[in-house]
Formats: sequence, C-alpha cells, structure tokens
Amino acid sequence: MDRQTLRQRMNAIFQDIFDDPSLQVSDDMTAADVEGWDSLSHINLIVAVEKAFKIKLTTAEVRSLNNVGDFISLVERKAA
Amino acid sequence: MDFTSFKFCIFLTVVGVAYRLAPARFRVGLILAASYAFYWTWSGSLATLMLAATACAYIAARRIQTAQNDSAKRWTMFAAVSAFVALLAIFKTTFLWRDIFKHDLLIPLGISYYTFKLISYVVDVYWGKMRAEKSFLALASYASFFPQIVAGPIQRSESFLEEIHRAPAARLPDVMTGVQRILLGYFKKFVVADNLETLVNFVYGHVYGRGTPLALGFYAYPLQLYADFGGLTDIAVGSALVLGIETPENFYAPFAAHNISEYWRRWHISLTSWLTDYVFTPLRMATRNWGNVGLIFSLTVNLVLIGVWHGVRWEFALFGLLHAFYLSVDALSARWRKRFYKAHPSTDRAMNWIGPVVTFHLVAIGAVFFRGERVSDIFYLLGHLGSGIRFPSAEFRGLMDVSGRSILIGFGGYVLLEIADYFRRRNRRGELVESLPRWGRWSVYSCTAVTVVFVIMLLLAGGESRNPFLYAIF
Repeated sequence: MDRQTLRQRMNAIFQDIFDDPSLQVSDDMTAADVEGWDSLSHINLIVAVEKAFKIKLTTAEVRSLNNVGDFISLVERKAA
Repeated sequence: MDFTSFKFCIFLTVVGVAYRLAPARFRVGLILAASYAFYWTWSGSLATLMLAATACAYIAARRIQTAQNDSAKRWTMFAAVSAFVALLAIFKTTFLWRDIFKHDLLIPLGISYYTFKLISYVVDVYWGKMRAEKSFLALASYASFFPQIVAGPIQRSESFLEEIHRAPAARLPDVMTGVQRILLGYFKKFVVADNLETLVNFVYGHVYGRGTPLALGFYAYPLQLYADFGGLTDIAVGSALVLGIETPENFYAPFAAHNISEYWRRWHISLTSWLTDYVFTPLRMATRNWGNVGLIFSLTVNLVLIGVWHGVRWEFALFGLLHAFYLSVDALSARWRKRFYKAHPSTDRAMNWIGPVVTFHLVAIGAVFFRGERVSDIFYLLGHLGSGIRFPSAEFRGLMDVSGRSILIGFGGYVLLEIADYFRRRNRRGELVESLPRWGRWSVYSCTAVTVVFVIMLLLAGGESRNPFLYAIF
C-alpha cells in the first residue's frame, strides 16, 4: 500500500474517531490541532488503526509519536 | 529553609548572583551544590537517599541504552521502576511502620517529586524518547533542583537537561518576571490562602453545625487550596526563572474549566500529565480491547492513585473514586454531547456559562472528601449544606466578630489573584512589560522593588512561625 492510500484510509479513521467529516490530516499535525484529541480519544484512535490494518502497536511505539506523520510512518512500517 | 522565610530570600539572591557570575561550565555544579545545601536544611542526611536513588537511575538508564537485547532492557527498567515505587510506598505508609516498629520515620522532603522525575527519566530512555544522560552531575541536579523539590512542578528530564546543559544566563526581564512571580506567590499564600484558612479550619472543626458556615466553608476550601498550592508553584517557577531556567506550569485557570476533563487538564498539570504518560497510557494500552470497561478501569486506577498519593486514607480513596466517576461519565457521554450541542447551538452557548459553574460545584464536592477528617463528617457536611441558612450559630457569629475582616480580605484577595494571573499568563517571560513605553516599564520595576522591600520587612517581622504550605507534605 503506498503512503497516499494509507493516508486516505487513516484520514477516514480520524474523521470517524473525532466525529468530524471535514477533518484532513497532514504530516505535521499534532493533538493540539484537533479538537477532542486527548489521552482518551488517542487510545480509541490506536485501537481503530490496529483493527483497520491488522497490526499490533506497543506502548513504546505509541509514546514515541510526535505528530501524524510519525504515526503514518509507523503504520506503514508495521503493515508492510 | 522555608520558601516563605527571609533566609530563603537571601539564599536565592546569593545563588542567583553566583550563577550569573559563574562561567557556564560551572553552573551545573553550582545548581547541584545549592540544591543539596537547600535539601540539607530540610532533611539532613536523608539527602544521601536522594543521591542513591539518582545513582540507581543513572546506572539503570546507561544499562538500558547499552543492553543488547530487549529482555535485558525491559528487566532493567522494571527493576529500577519497582525500586522507586517501593521507596515511595515505604514513605507513604509510615503510619503502618510507626505502629510496628514503635519508631517515627522521618519523611524525606520531596520524595514523591524526585522519584517521579527519576521514574520518567528511566522509562523515557527505555521507550527510546531520549538518550541516557552522560553527566551524573546534570542528572543529580535534575532530581534535586531546589525550586522544584518542595512540591514540584514535575519537570521532564528531556527539557530540564537540555536547559541545564545550555545553562543560559538569566536575562534582566527573566529576573524581573521571576521576582514578580515570587511576590505573586506570597500574595496568594499570605493574603488569600491564610485568611481563608481561618474560615475553613473553623467549619471543618465544627462540622456538626448549621447551614451558613457549612456553605461558606464548602465554597472557601477549593479557593484556599488553589491559592495555597498555586502560591507555592509561583514561588517555585519564579525562583527557577530568577536563574534563567524555565519550569512547566501546574495551573491554568482551573475554575474556568467547562467540564471535568478540562478541569483535570488545568489542575496540577505536571502531575496529571505525568500520570497520563506513565500510568494511564500504559494501562489503557493493556486494556484497549476491553471497550468501555477498560476505559473505566484505567480511569479509576489513575484517579484512585492520585487520591491515595496525597495520603493512604479512605477519604482520599473516595476522592479518587468520585473523580473517576465524574470522568467516566464525561468520557462516555462526550460523543453524544458533541452531537447534541451541534444540533442545538443555543444550548452550546448557554453551556459556556453554565459549564464552569457546574464544574466548580463538582470539584467543590470532591474537595470536601479531600479536606474532611472523617467519612462521617464528609457526608454530614454535604447533606446539610442548605440547612438553617438564616440561623448561624453563636460560635460562628463569634468567629465573624473576631476574624470576619480577614475572611473578607481572603475572598477579596481571591478576585485580585484571578486578575493578576490573567495578566501574568500574558507576561510569561516579561513580554507584556517589555512592550510598555519606558515610563510604564519603570513604574512596574519600581513597584516591584518597593514590594520586595515591603515583603522582606514583613518576613523579618513575622519571624519563623508561619502556616506551612498544604502541598509541602505530599
């Protein structure tokens, strides 16, 4: 799966979790840029991504993310 | 050496001047020496315990970094974190040991704060968020940094170590802002917290009275706690800034929060964000496939831990359970509320006003559990808030005759506190004052200088007998 397709699929997950159909993710986006992205919804996001891409993420991997770009790269690596 | 003593003002001035004059490469050592000297005045030889804990974290982190396989890394991290948690648990349960060994155990100052700092350091190295620190002196100054040792804020190692290695000389606006921040802390403590304390102590000492005092105590205690702890934080942040070191904040207008989850993002921020990263997130990751049960379980463990961290007592555990209930309801209804407000914009606008009022009352109910001396007192007080409002007891009238004026000063001071904080948040490193014309800047400087002289005179006149800070014991 190329990065662009991956980004589109992740974008759909973000829209669903944050209940915002107009949300468009970008690489440098962080939790501070998205309304409702707190420690609780963060885990919901992780669970949804794990299910969609059939991968398992560890706490260390989740804690090392600094922005959406890191998250996409992590999923890209794990799903490969 | 108390933060509100004349000795501390002298100590900070001497350290500040020495730090400014010292070449950058000696500054880490200077901070370390000053921090251990400060610590010695509180806990004497227990400083060696802090030194041993720091050495343990230093060795563990280096080992985690150099270990060849994941299991060695994991076990080293696990051993170090377990040792810190055990150390903290021993000193948090001294009342048990006192009964068994018939001997009082002296609680080392800041044990919670330096163990939290060292745990986060070791775990961050394990998670690969940062590299193990090479300089033991820098790590030791991180754990013992005197402005943060009494009651935090709990700064993360990454940001502190980066600052201490740069060891920037304080700019004049930083020193000015730091001094103003310390003065604001003294105002919060002496004018607001200590005056409201008279009322709060009376009410909680006479819980089985009638309505008026109970209702006043119910509203005064959250304000007292905030002014007291906020004042302590201001002195800590200000003292660090006098040296040129930036410290994270603990509060961001907590009583302006629109809901309870926002409140917890604004109250004791350095502790709640620490717990979110090192307790809640790992726990929630482990329970992420349990659905809402996992969410409620993780929230409850987190909040009960916050409660009993203040003291291993039923009242604190109930405080944690109550807040876990609030937060669970908040989290489970978040999606529904968002959609409801979207469909009913007028309700959304009304909630901008109603939200903070409701949130304050939820917090005040929690604060009764925090302050109440017995579970029976807590439920009596909460059950009789509206009773006999018009007939205050003779004792209460007596209190108001003697201390009514200072109580009014406490409430009035609270209003000034919020206004001062509003401007303070816009003047983090002196930008607001710097943007004024010269006459405005110099007015601020001279006001600050006059207030410093005034406060030092008050501290000298007050001697050594002062109310301790509420949070200095945690």
